[in-house]
Amino acid sequence: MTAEKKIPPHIPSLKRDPIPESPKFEEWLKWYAEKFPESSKWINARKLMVEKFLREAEFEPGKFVKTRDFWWKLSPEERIRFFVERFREVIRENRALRLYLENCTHCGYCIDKCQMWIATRDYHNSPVGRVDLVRAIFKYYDKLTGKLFSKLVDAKELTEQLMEELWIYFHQCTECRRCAYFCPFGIDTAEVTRAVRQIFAEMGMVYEFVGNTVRSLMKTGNHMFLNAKAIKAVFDMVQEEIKEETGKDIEIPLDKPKAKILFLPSSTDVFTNLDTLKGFVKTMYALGLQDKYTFSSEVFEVGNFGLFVSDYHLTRQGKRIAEVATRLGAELVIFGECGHGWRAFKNYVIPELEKRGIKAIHFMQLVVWAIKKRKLKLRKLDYVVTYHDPCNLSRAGDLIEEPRIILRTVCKEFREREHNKHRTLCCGAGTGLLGDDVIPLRVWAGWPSVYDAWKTGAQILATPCSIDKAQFPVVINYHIPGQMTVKGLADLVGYALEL
Amino acid sequence: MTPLEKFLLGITVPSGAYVCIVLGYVALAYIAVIVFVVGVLYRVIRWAVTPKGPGGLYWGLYRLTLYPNVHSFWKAAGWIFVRMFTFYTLLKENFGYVSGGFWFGLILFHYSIWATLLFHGNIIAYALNMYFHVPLAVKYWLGIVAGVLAYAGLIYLAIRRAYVQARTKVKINYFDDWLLVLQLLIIMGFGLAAKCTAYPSSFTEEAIRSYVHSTYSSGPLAPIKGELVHLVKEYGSVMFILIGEWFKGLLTGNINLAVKAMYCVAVYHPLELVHVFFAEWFLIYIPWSKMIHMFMMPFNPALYGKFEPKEPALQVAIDIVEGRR
Repeated sequence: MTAEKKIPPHIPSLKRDPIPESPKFEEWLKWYAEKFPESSKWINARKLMVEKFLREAEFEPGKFVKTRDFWWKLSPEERIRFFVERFREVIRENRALRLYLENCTHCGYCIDKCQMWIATRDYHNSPVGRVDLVRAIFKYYDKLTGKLFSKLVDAKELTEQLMEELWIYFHQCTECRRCAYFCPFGIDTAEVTRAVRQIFAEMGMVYEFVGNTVRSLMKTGNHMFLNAKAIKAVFDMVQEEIKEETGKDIEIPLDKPKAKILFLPSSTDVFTNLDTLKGFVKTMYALGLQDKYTFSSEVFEVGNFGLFVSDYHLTRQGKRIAEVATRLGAELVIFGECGHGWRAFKNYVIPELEKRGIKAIHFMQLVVWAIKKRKLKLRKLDYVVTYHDPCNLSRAGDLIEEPRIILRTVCKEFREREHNKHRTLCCGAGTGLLGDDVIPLRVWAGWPSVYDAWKTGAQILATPCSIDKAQFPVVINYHIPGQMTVKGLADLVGYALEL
Repeated sequence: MTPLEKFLLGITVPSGAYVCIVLGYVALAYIAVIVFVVGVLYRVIRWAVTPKGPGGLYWGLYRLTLYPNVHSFWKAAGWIFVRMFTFYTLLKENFGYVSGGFWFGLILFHYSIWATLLFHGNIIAYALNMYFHVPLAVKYWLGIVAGVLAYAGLIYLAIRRAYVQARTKVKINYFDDWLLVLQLLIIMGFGLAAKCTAYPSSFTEEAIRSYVHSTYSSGPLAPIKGELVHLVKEYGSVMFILIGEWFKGLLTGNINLAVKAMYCVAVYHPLELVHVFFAEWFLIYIPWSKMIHMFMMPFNPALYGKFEPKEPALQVAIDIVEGRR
C-alpha cells in the first residue's frame, strides 16, 4: 500500500485493508465523503406499494399479511404499533431470535468481518450495529430495565426514524452469516435480518428487486417470468450450439412425463449463464441419463427469493417443487447451481422430498462421484482457477470439498483463496441486493471478495452461484476490468467434457 | 459440633451488626442463590421451550447450520464444546488481523475465573466436611496467581472495549456493558485484596504464630488465638475458615453460626465482606443480564444444527446411472 493509498485517520481502518488496494480507491474516498453515513438512500421499496404487485406476489391479507391493511395505507402510529406488536409476537415464537437478541456481549469482534461494514465503515452496517437497532426496541418493549433506564442501556422507543433505519440497514445485510462463524457465541445475524424483513414484508414492504423476483416466482415458478414456450426456445438454441460444438444432437428434455430425475436449473441459466446449462446437459448425456431426466417449466428454478422475504414465500416455492417431483414420479431431484437456493433447498425442500420418498442431491455431488468412478471423460483446461465458496454452500449447505475436487480435475491449476470455506467473504449482493439502484454499494461490498480472488493471480473465478455470477462481473468490471472471468462449475465441466 | 463452632456460637454480636449481617449476608445470600438458580433455569428453559418459529421451522427452514460435515448429535456437540472452551474462531485470520490479543485476554480471563471458582469450591467442601487438603503455599500462590491473571484479563478486555469503540468511531458500549465490567472489577479486586492480606507471609511455624498473634490479639477471636495457629496450619487462613463456617451455617440452616462467622470476617477482614456482598448482588444480576451468555451456546440452533448424510441420495443417483432403478 502506498503512502497516498491509505484510509484517512478519521475513517475506521483495518490492518490489511482491501479497500485501498482497489485501483478505484480515490472514488471510494469521494463516495464515502458524500454518502456516509446515509449509505442507503439506494434501497428503494416504496415503488412496490401498488395493489397489483402485492396481489401477484401473493401478499393477500389473511393469507400471508397479518396486518389489517398494507403499510402504505396505515398511519404512522398504526405502522409503529403493528411493527412493535408483531415484533414482540415474533420474539415469543422464535428461539433463535430471542437467543441472539439476549446474548450479545458487545465484544465488537464481528464488525470488521462484515463486507458491508468494510464497504461503508458505517457501524449500523456491521452485524452488532445492525442488530443493536432491534435490540434497542427489544429492551424498550420487553425489558424492565429498558423501560426504567432507557438511555443507560440503549433502549429506544420505536419511532418513524428508527423504523426507517431498520428498513435501511436490514436491507443491506446479505445474510451471508460470516459473522455467525466468527462470533464467539455463534450469533447468526441473518436470522434477525430475516425476522425484520418478514415483518416489513407483512406490511407489504419489500425491496424492489427482490419483490419483483418473488412476484415472478409466485406467478411462474421461476425468477425470470419464463413460460414453457420461452424456455423451449432457448433450449432449441442451446441444442443447436451444442451440436455445433460437439457434433452431438442432444435433446434437452422439458416437461417429459415419468422421468426418473427432475433437474432444477437456475432460471438465469437460460439468460446470462447459458454455459452452465450446457454443462448440465452435456454431463447428463455423458452419464447416460439422457432419457431419464427432465427439466420442468413449472419449477424452472433452483433459486428461492422467498428466503429473503418470508417463510410463506420460501415454503410456497419449496412445496411446489415437491409437488411437481411427486406428480412426475421422480425418484431423484438434482439441484443445479445456486447459492441461496441451495440453502432453502437443502434445509427445506430436501426434508419435504424425503417425506414423499424422493431423494435429492447437488449436481456437484453427482459429478464428484462420476469423477471418482471415471464415468466422465474430462480433459484438463488450460485455466488457472480459484474458487469462491458461496456463503450458503459453505456455511449452510454442507458443500465444501466437492467443488475443489471438480476444479482440480478439470483445470490446469487450482489456487485456494485466503478467505475460503467457512470464512468465505460474501459477494456483496446476497439476499438479492442486485438492483441497479445499489450498484455503488455493490461494487464496494463485493470488492473484498473479488480482491481476495484477484490476489491469487487466477484468471478464472469459479462459483456455483447465480447471484455471484450476476454480481462478480459488475465488481470486476468496475475495479479490475478484463482481469478475471467468472464461470460456473458446470460451465467448466461442460468445457472439459469429451463426449 | 467442632470446638470452633462452639466458640463462634458463643460470641456476642452487637444487635445492630446482627441485623445488618442477617440482611446482607444471610437473607441476601439465600435470595441470591435462589434468584440465580431459578433465574438461570427460567432463562434456559424459556430458550428451550421457545418454538423454532412459525410452523416449527426457522422462518421456513428445518434447521440452521454453520459447519459442514455435521451429521450427528455428537459431532454438533463437539463443535459447541470446542467453541466454548477454546474460542478458536478468534484465531482465524481476517485481513491480516489474527485476534491473538483478544483470544489471549479471553482465555486468560475465563480460565483464571474458572480456576478461581474451582478454588472457592474448597470452601463449600470445608462446609460439607469434605475439605480437600492442598499444601498451604500452593493453595496461597495458586489463588493469588489465578486471581491476578483473571484481573489482568479483565482489565485487558475492558481496555479492548474502549479501543474497539475508538477504532470503529462509534459508541458500542453502553452503561450496562460498563456496569458489568465495574461489578467484576469490584468483586475480583476486593476478593484478591482480601486474599493477599489474609494470609501469613510464609507458612513456617514462626511466621504463622507471629501473624495470628498480631492479627487476632484483640476482638472476638482473641481468646482462641492459640487454637487459630493450628487451624491456619491446616487451612491456610482464618478468613478461609470463617467463610467456610458461614457457608456451613447457611447450608445447615444454622443462621446464628453464619452471622457470627460473618461478624468475625467483618472485624478482621472487611475487604472480604465487600467481596461477598457484591458477589451476592452479582449472582442476582447474572440471570437478567448479558452474563447469561455463558449458558447460551448449547441452545444456539446455528451451532447444534446438523445435516442428513448425503450417501443415501447419492446411492439413488448411482442406481439410476448404473441402470439398477
